[in-house]
Amino acid sequence: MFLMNTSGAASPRIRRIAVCLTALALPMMAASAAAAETKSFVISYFYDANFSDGKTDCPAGLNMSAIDFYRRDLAKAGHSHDEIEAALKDFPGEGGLKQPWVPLVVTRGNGKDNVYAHPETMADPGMIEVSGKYSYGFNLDGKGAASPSKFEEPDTHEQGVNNGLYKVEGCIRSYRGLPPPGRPSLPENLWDVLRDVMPAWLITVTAADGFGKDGPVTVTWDRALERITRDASGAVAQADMTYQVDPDPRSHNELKGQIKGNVVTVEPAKFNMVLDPYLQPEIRFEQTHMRINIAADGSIRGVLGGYQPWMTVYYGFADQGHIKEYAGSINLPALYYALKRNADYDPDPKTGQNRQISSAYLLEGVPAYVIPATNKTAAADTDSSAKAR
Amino acid sequence: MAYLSKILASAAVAVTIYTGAAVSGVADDKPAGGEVVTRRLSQEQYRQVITDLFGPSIKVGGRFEPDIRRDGLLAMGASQVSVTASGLEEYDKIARNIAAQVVGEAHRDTLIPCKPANAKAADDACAGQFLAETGKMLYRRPLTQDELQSRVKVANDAAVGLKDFYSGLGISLATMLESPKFLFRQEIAETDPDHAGQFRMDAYSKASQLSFFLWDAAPDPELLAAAEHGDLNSDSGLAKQVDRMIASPRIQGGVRAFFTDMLGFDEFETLAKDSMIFPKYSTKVAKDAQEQTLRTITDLLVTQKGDYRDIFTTRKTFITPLLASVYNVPFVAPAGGWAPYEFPAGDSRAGIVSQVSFVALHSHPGRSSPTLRGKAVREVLLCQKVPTPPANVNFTLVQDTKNPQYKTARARLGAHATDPTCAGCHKIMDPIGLGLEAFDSGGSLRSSENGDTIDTHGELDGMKFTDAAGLAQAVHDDPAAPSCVVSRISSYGLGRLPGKGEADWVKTLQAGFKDDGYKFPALLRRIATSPEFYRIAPPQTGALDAPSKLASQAP
Repeated sequence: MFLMNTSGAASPRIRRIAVCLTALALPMMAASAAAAETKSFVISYFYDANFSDGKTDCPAGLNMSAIDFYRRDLAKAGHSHDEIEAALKDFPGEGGLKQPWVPLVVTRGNGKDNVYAHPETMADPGMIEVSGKYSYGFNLDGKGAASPSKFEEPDTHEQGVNNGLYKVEGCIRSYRGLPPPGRPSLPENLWDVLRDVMPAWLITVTAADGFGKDGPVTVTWDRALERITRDASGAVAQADMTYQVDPDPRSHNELKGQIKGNVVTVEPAKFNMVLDPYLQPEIRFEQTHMRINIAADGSIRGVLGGYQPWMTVYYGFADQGHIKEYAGSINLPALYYALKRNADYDPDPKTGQNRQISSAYLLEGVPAYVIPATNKTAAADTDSSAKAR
Repeated sequence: MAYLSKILASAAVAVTIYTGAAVSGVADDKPAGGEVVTRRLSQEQYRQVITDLFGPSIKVGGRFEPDIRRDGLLAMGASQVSVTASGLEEYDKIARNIAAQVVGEAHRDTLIPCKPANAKAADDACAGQFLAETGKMLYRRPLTQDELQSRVKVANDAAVGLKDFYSGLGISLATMLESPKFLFRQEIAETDPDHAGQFRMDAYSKASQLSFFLWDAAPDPELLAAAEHGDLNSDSGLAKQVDRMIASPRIQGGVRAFFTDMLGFDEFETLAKDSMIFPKYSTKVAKDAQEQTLRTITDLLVTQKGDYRDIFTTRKTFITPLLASVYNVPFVAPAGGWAPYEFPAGDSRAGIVSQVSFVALHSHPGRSSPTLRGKAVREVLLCQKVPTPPANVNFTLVQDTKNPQYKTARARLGAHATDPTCAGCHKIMDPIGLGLEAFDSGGSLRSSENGDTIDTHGELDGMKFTDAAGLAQAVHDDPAAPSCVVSRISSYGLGRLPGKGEADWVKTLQAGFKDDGYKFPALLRRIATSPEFYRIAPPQTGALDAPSKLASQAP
């Protein structure tokens, strides 16, 4: 069983644990270091790390809203003005696929194929990208200031931060995190909906020498069998809930790292978490970096970054097609080309096209109890809830 | 409607129907009994009656008249309430809705014991059968011939007019559901043949007294049959029914109802917490917290047949995953529900006073309150009256939780108590409540306030303690605690405070409770088998006729 908690509220129990550990260690005191301590957390929010200060990030302006790029794209596709306006008369309207504009925009590439599944049936409509100075994330390629990326991390001031995903998304209205470190509206909304029905994400940090001093840590990420429970505010997860670890190895990550002060970082490694197709089927990183700050009240904020397959990112957007386009003002074919253009890792040996894109996500969490799976009923309950959705 | 309203309002006044011989003879040495009471069914009782009679698939919707707490109990307020005009409208809506469901196509085949010869016409026999059987359960006694005929006539007239037997039956059923004979428990007195000059409840009133006391529900058919056969008027017959009811799982419902009332859980409906300060406290937590306490109590008192005083010290309880988060303990329950949990020895959580339901209920929205908590211990658990504060008290110092000079509640109250007008009362409350300061207003454990370590030492009538567990032990050891619950449940059962003539009876119950090892079911049995529990004071001169006339006019 893993245990956690930094909040003063549970200090008697934490003290008990410490006393037990101390008692066990006494005979070996001469030879051993301080007792290891473990803290666990459940993630309340996980969203694209988009540093949008509203001043320097998008000097060329923001990308068009959906109705504007639909007009433009449909005109380019050969539709007449009257035809376009008639179709968009009640945009976006209600009734889903029955809206007259839907079939037009879905096939606005070659007039017959679904442009979201086959974005290259359409010429690149263009995407305004971030050209500001700052970006959350990490210097993934290790080139620092010499990196082609000119981003600087706003908190650590690390130079050469690689975050191609932010560069692509950052000037889309619904993906701007205003003010930093704000949650971009659409990712926040998607996560907010999703977290009530998907298994919770868990982080456990074990400090080999305890949390009172700097030293090595092991950080595990897992999915839970249970969903989060919201607290009274409705905004964040209820602290100190108990979660069982899903034994599915696809979402188990064990990372080695360090703690310095209250900041935990990890050594680059591979990382995989099953997410949900509603947002993105999975988060699969190479060269994973992480930085988590453990606050005095026991909560955490942090950044997770790495290279991930850009096609996975794209289809996370494209899965909902025109709905995502008009709800988020995201021109999906433009996004496709921008992701492809900004992919910066793992070139295809045949084509040279990079297959992965540097990315970063911000996360927020609260203390939790994380224990091995012991209860099959709870798993069944989670499953049935997911199906209900 | 106006007529019915008048009748209902009248029913709020104690309606006593005295039957049998006129007052005569010489009273023997038995206590004279108390005044009769007429109690409005609580919302829970109303719902329970409908569920018992028609099953859980019949939904009871609508807004009930609010209950009123008197002398520490809603059960006593129930004997002092009327029905307002708007309340009557609600009762009417609720009644019509229930009746419509009962006679509706989905339920009529299972809930109506007969079929009319013609569904589009009146049917005396079928309507009579249904209304007689249903009326007996609703009125908690057989309908008189006049009552039954009038209800059948209503059903028939409506059926003819609407050309639908079931609609007519539904209208008649609705009139019964909004009758004061259903909504109010009316005690009917009769002369006590064993004690000259004294009165007792008649058998059906006894049955209701017993059933609502033990089960918080109307009498079941077996109890009504016992009443009909006169069994409840014999000691052995009464004891047989009492033992049957106490042995039934339904006793848990009665015990839960009493403690829900005694602990003031109705106040949770208006309890608010600042979610920014106490993010863990939610309405769901509040609901679970009440349930936790009720489960703790019923398990200890009914299932384990334990010592009542141990509810103040037991570490055995039941929690949900959500409550576990408030208690800050790892916990996985089957299917996310309830499971037993025991706080370890030495933990600050011991007994119901340290549970979320108590510490959260007796706190302010944004801060704890040693004063409110101490007051609650005295008034709720020990039945000791604390004077109300003067109207001109300045609470500024106590309320200012950000005052750097007084970082803890102890410090603030200490400063406040330097005012001699405040000190007198605070000294009987604060030393108790300060023992619970390790729990914030949301019920979570804490060790400091504004950076200062919280000191939880305190005192209860000379019993000093250092923390909540010590307070729990002090309450456990206080003889006022078991005496209090005896007084409370006596009042709860009677619907009134025991009269002067019943003081000896209460003392006897308190002594018996001690002799029984403070076993709660044994206390219930002592009360329920006491003649005093059913005794009614003789009517005052001239009081015999008017109520009888009133009762005969009621539909």
